[in-house]
Amino acid sequence: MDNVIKPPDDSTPPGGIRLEVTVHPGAEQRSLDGVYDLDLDRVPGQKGELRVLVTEEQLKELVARGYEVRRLKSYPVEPLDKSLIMDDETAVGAVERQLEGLRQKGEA
Amino acid sequence: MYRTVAQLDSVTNILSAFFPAIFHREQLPETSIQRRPVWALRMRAGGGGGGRRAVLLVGGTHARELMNPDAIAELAIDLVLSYLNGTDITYGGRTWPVSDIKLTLESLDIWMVFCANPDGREHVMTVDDLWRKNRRDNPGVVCPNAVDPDGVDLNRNADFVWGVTQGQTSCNPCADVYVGASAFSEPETRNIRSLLNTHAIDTFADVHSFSELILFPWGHAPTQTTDPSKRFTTLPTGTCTTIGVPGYQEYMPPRDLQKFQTVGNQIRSDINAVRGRLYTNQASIALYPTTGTQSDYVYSRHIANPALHKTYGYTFETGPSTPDLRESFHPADPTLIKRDAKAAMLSLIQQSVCAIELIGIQFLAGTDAVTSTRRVRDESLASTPAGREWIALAESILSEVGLVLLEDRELGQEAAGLLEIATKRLQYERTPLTGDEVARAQKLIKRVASKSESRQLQSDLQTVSDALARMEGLTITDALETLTRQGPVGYSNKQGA
Repeated sequence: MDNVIKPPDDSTPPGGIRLEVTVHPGAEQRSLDGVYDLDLDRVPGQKGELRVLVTEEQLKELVARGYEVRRLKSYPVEPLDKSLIMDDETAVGAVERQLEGLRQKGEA
Repeated sequence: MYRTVAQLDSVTNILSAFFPAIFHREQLPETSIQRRPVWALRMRAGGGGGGRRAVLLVGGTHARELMNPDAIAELAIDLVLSYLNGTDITYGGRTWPVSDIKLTLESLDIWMVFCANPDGREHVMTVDDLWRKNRRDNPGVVCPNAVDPDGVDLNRNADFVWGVTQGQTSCNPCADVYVGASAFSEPETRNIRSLLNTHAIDTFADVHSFSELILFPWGHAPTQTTDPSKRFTTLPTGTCTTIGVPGYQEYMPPRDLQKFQTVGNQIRSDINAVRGRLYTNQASIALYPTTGTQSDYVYSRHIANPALHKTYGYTFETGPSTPDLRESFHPADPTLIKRDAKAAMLSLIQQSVCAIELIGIQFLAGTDAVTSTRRVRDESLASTPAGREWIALAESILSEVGLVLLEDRELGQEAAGLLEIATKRLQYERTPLTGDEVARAQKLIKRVASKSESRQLQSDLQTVSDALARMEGLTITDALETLTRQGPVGYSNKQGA
């Protein structure tokens, strides 16, 4: 049942959680323009669908207003995966070495 | 992988320290909310003073869109490597010959702000990887429905229909699209405004992610090209409601709309050549309605205040929409998307070169001829659809033609001579074009075409040559009249799909 809120998959982490959902007119054929009034964090949908990042409270509000809400994924609030951050050697050291040999040309 | 704010700053430091003749690093007037410095880097080569055309590239406005600050930094590195090593720049299937890079760096000022929102980037890396706004403390605000009550959306804070809550724009501090307490309430947005106030920027790109879009004004309302009385300057601001004028459509001169589309189409084509990704080139509102965005603001400045320089402003949305938002905002391997982004920026940079201006400066010791040419373009040709087709054709070939003319000084001198004749004809409008003059121009066109391997360029030049043949014996006024009545035969401006 698409418009039934499912409990979060994870226990809510201390920083909170964001839910990625798509919003549809639902059985009441609600205009999606009304979703703007809720000040949600809208992100581009893959096929133009209305895709938003919401808290659980916001999700409940959408459902209460008669929208059909399809829940896609949950994202605990957490820092960027550390493995995605460059170390200084890659970010700066390598650049320095790459450019070092050209210093004299650049001064010409 | 992604650079930290400190690492991005280090790259600006290395570039300016290693290559002081090419890079100038400038700390923008204000630190961020959390007192971090914000740096701008100006890239130029070949010496000379001011007065160059200028491009401004901005990354990191939205904190979680991590790829673009790195892409801008790496573009700066690619450009200097190409220039100093004499090597082409190749991104996948698209190559920019070193001669193009040289022309570009020696004729433009390229301003880059790798990361306009350093606090936000730091917050993403240390606290919340889906954070969008800056780190403005919103005192006393309680947001039971939001993850964090702080921050202002820096791409809703500019002084353009500010605080009118069209679509994805909000006066609620808890919202991710919060407009802030007033227009330019944030030091990070004031820094960008400061760059625009202190340098004559011709083209601008605010580089965001994601969904593979090239966006141009307007974002607050649909665009129309027929009723100049419909101007944003007549709209109220700060109302925290929608525009409130049913059916409101914002005016844009047809010539500007065409330019946005033509340049955007070339960017799209250059991105596509890298690895086949097909970006969409469209007005911002097609994504969703907005106000207070940076790209609308930069373009609106000369309309709000005609004393200000005109800047064509784009927003790029790099990378595809994927099923996983984290992967869309900061993919595990952004290499290929950064390549697309760099191609987009380089395409915009290259199209910012004005070949006629360069010829005027290099061969005519002045820009009078350029001014006359621009007047013809803006006052005569731009007044009809057929004339605008001629402008589109000219703009699509000028960069390549300019390169040929600047590399071959004899051809450059000849072009400059013809430009002078055209300027004189504009001053003495009753003198008809002679057969000799037309033949001379056709001969030049033929020689330029012979130096290019591009069939498209050769075909477009032939179109110009054919039109010239019909102008013998006409005054310049009559010649222009024919161009405004009939567009280039066989040429179709590839308007954005």
